[in-house]
Amino acid sequence: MKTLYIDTHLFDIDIILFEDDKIIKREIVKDKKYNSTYLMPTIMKVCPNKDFDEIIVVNGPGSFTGVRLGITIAKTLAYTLNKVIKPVSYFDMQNYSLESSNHILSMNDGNGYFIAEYENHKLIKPLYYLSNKDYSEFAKNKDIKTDVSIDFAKVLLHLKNVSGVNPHSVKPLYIKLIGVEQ
Amino acid sequence: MKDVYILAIESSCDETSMAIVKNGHEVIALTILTQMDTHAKFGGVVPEIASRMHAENITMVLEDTLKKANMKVSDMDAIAVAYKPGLLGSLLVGLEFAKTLCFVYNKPLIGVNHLIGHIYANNLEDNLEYPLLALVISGGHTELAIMNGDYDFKMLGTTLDDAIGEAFDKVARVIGYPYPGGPNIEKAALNGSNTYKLPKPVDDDTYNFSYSGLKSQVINLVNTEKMKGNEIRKEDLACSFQTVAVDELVRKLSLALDNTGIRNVVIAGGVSANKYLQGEIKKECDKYDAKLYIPRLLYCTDNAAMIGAAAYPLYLRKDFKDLSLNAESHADLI
Repeated sequence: MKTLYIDTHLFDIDIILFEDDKIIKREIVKDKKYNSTYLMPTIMKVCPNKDFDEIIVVNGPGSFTGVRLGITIAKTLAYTLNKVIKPVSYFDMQNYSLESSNHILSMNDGNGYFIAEYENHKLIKPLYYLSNKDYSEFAKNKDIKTDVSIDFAKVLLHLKNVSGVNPHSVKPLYIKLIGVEQ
Repeated sequence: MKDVYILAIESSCDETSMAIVKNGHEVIALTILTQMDTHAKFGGVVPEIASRMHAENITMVLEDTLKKANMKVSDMDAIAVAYKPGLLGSLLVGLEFAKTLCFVYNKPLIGVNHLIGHIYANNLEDNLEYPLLALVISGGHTELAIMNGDYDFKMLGTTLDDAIGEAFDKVARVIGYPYPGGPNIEKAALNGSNTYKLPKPVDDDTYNFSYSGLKSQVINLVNTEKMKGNEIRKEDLACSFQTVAVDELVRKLSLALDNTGIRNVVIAGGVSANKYLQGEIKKECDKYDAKLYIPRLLYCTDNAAMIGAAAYPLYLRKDFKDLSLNAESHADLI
């Protein structure tokens, strides 16, 4: 069972090919905003023969354009090659990676923080976004985890029991409001 | 020679469009999914929303297009995509999608300049004859060029400030017509007369255009009348503006017809859908006995068929891009 993992949620590109839960090949490209130049060539490097059974794509939260490009490629691959596709949020991947079951996770995108609150490994409310200023108030006296490293074996184990979705329906998690929504 | 089928993708603004074009001339299938109703609520195109809708719909637009043609991506000879100019986020969705198809099906990628696509829209149901004068008029561009052959351009002039379509949209807003401004000005002008005196934009012998002065004149006029407590005759103002704006194009075109001796003319871009403009340019071309190409309305506004038509000469010369191609928000014809 081979899995292609596509993560472009912030400014890095992380592409991995797994055989079961072993990493066969991984390419990380650091700090490429609007990563169009690097994204497709990186995927081709990791998986030149398109020999995978399913795609796991990080659907956010993060940079609108970054996530969107990863999602566009992933859903097009899944649709044209008729493969299973499983979108997953980067917070959920952190949540699956953690031993603890209750935690608040945050992620900085330069202007503020995305927040995810979990109890018993389940989200207790929708993800939300705080400005840097609001975050420093919010974070007082709280144990917030900011940089949880991903345990891919755990993530893959968890996603094994999750069914794939229709590629047409895959879209990014847009948490931050844009001008016209505010 | 073997027939060439190109799958073309257009996502530079608020239309997600795909087409299959045979030999650069024949449209086998065309799908245009417009987002106009969504953006109308905001009074103009919201770039982030445009990008979101492209990403949501793009695989479904492919499915539709292939179904119409009863073909598969593997039947194609190349994948073409508009990669400049336009809204960056929107272009990127189409571009990454196109690259993915190239990777999956081992097809060459053709990068098409959206503006050149508008010119080649005229090749879809006709055969362009060279040399020709190309007048590209849209929301972002006002350019006059000589074309001596496929992709052989010599620029004559361009706008020094606003594009003509931009001026139409801004004037519409000031007079009080909703988005999309251009078509609404055109409609209103039908019931108006050219009674407001507006100055000629660039009254000289260059091929350059300018629309920001004309736009400011309209804004000033509206403000002055408001301060005096006078009612604006909206339809008359729309008509007066449109008359001067179009007259400027006609004058520069006439200058080019005189100076170059060229007798083929193409108008291209979203603004070329304006019927009054088409009529005035036709009258001028008739004076010179010049042939005028105007795309069918369907091919005037953004569509992927024109991208397929413009990709064909690039296919023949094997002008292919590798999959690190990036999108560019700004670009001219050359």
